[in-house]
Parts: sequence; C-alpha cells; structure tokens
Amino acid sequence: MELGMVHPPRDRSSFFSYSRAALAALLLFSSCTLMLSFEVPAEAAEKDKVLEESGIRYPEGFDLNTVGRIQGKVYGFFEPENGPVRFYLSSKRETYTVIISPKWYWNDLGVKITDGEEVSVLGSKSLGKDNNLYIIAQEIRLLNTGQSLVFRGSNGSPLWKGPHIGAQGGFGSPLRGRGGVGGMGRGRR
Amino acid sequence: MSSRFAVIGFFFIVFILCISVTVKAAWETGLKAGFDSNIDRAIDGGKDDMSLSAYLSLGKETTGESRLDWSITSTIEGTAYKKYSDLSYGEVTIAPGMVYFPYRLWSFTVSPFFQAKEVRDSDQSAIAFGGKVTLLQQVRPDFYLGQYYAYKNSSANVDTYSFEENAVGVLAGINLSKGISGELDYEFSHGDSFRALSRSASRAHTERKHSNSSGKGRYRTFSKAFGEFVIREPVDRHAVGIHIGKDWNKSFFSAADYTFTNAEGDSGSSTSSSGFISLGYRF
Repeated sequence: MELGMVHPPRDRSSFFSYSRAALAALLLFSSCTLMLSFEVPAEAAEKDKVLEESGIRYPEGFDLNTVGRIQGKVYGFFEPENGPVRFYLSSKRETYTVIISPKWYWNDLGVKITDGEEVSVLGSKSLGKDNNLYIIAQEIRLLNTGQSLVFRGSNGSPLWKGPHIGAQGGFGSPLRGRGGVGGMGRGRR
Repeated sequence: MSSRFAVIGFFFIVFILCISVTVKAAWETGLKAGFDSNIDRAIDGGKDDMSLSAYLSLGKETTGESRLDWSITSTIEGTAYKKYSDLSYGEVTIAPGMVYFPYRLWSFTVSPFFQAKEVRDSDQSAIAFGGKVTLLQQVRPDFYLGQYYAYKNSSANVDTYSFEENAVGVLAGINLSKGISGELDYEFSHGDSFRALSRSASRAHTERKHSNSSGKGRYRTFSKAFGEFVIREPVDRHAVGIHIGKDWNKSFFSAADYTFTNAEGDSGSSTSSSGFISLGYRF
C-alpha cells in the first residue's frame, strides 16, 4: 500500500475560473479572427497578385526553369504606389521590363539607379500577355560600381518575406522549426 | 469536463468558420511519425514510445509587401501512441501573428497562441495560451539566424500536468540547393514539468515536500497512463535539435527532426531523445 500523498481531485473552482478566462479570451480572439478572416481573400489575392498589364504573377511567378542573365542599359525607373519597383532594360536585342521588389525593400538598399546606367540582371524571364518581355529580378549587378543587389534566394524565394524556412511547412505548421510561430519547446510533448 | 468540451467545440467551430470563409488562404496537411525515448520524463530509466500524427492547418502567411504584416494559422492535429495509447490526443491551436521588418533581411514577429488539447488520459487534457517573440536575420540569401523568447501557460485537468514555462532559444538555418534545408537550434527553458519517479524516490519526494512545509507534495499523483507515480516540479531544460527538410516540389515536402533534452530539477536530472519524420502537402 502506497503511503505517500496522492494527488487529490483538482480544485474545480480554480479550473472553471481558468476555463472561463480562457473561453472569454477565445471568444474575443475568435471575433477578431473572423473579422480578419473576411479580409483574407483579398490578402490571398495579393499573394497571387497578377500584374495587370503583363498578366505575370507576382511575387510567385518566378520560375527557376527560365532563369537567365541579361545585360543592358536602364531607363524609365519607377516606384508605383502599389506593386513592385520596375525599370526597363534595353539590351542589344530586346527590351525587358525588370520587376524588382516592394518599394520599402528597394529603399532600404539605399541605391539610386539612373537612366543609361549599365546593369546585368539575373532573373526569371517570361513573355507577358501584352507581348512584352519581362524579367523578375533575382540579382541586379551595377556594372560601373560592381555592386550586387540580391532580391531572391537561390530557389527564387523573395528575401523581403523574411528568412525562407524551407521544407518545414508554413507559418505555424506543426512541422516547422523553431523559427515558426505558436507552440514551443524542443522535446515538449 | 463539459466546460473543456465546450471550449474545444468552440475551437472547432472557429476553425471550420475560418475554413469556410477563407477559402483562398493556404492549406497544409501532413503525416508525422515520431518517437520519444523518455515519454514519462522519468528520472531513472524512462518509457519509450512511438507515435503517428496527422494534421490539417489553414493560414495566411506574411507577404512582405509592406513593412508591417500579419498572419494567422489554425491547426488541428491528432496523435496516436503505439504502446501508451492513453497518451493519444487531439489538439487545436490558433496562432495569430504580427510581423515587422525593421530593416530588409530582418524580421520581428510577435505571436500569441491559444491551444486546447484533449488527451485520452483526461488528467492531461489542458487549455494553454502563450506567446512567442522571434527575431530573424537573413545573414546571406541562403543562411539565417534567429532568436526567440516564448511563454506558455498550460492548465491541465490535474495540476500535476499543468505548467508555466519561459523559454529562450537561438537557431541557425540554411537553405541548400535542390530544396534542401536545415536548422540547428538550442533552447533553454525554466518552468514546471511532470516527472515520473521510482516508488522510493516518489516517497522521498513527498516527505521532503512535507518537511519543507511547502505544500507542493499535492502535485504528486498516480498516472494511469504510465502506471506509476508522477510529480510536478520546476526544472531547467536544455534542448538541442536539428531539423532537415526537403521540398520535393511546390506542394510536397518532407522533414526529419531530432532533439536531445536534459532536464534538471530537485529530484534529479533526466534526459530524452525525441524526433519525427514527416511528409507534408501544401495546397
């Protein structure tokens, strides 16, 4: 016969007060969640945003199978209110529209690019529905200074989304490493 | 217990509403086969077991199109244990998050989370909440560092299994070619943990608590799931882990994870090895 003290039944009042508090928090949170949820389709649409004139998906339209390097002169740099920063790249044979990154990311680079500047662009090439050529930039090299501006990782993932944590599921996935959200505890069951 | 079911039911309703309303959000599902060498957190010996999990999650990730962005994830997960089937559980987690990019290649994330867990051994069923603050730096296009602080408060049906924990961790990750990635991390945490004791150690623990007049001896209970006495006490945990993954294409990915944990408390120290292999699908 075990002589030690065995755990008594749980203090139900404290449990229910905890449950009520948790339930209240959940109700509040869920209301917020549902309100936010109605915004999600728009956000999701942004994720799969299709650039109007070209029909190119941005930023997801980067295709590793079409990556190439184009050298030429810059003109017509512009920063739209919404959507990615762009410029035209005039090479010896063709003119491309270079699709770069969000404005805030470009501005953090602190780089000024001027008409006539010679650059080399590494990126994913495609033909827009307007029959113009586009290149989604992975790296831009300023040939007069040798400076290299990197916008995407080797797998094409945009650097402005934060560190790409590959093959570990999405944000909050049970398979995600410690860089994810929610849960905690290495070895915690 | 009806209160707990109400809460869990509520989680499910919210989850389903989220699913029905946010049809364009990203889905993910997966299977996970896991093991743990010390599932009862025993100080001497320890029971090992294997498990099989399935999960479904729905969420909106950050896009990075602006400096300040938000995310939300709802996950439902079920796990079945092979030997100690009373440990099998179902769990629902909701984790919203705010992400701020103070500078390119740096991200700062604040993410509270809410969790309801129903364990077959109902003593261990719990409601938890907490939060995590994460700072990530993309040092090179394919290499990142991270630091985080996390807090979790879990209230179980039986107090022995309740815990409050504070954790800090550091991690380093790399993305290699062909979709292969890896992450190494270390975590230190301080908080309560249940621990299985041998009969003599269990009695000694109770007597010590009585002599200290701390009253904490009440946290000792008999676990039907483990078939032994368990106690609850504060522990310092050190955990190191490695995580390797591969993206097979845009939808399929797999991962392998291993963690070694050392926990030290008044009753002694214990170690465990745990991990999983998994296959996931995004759609």
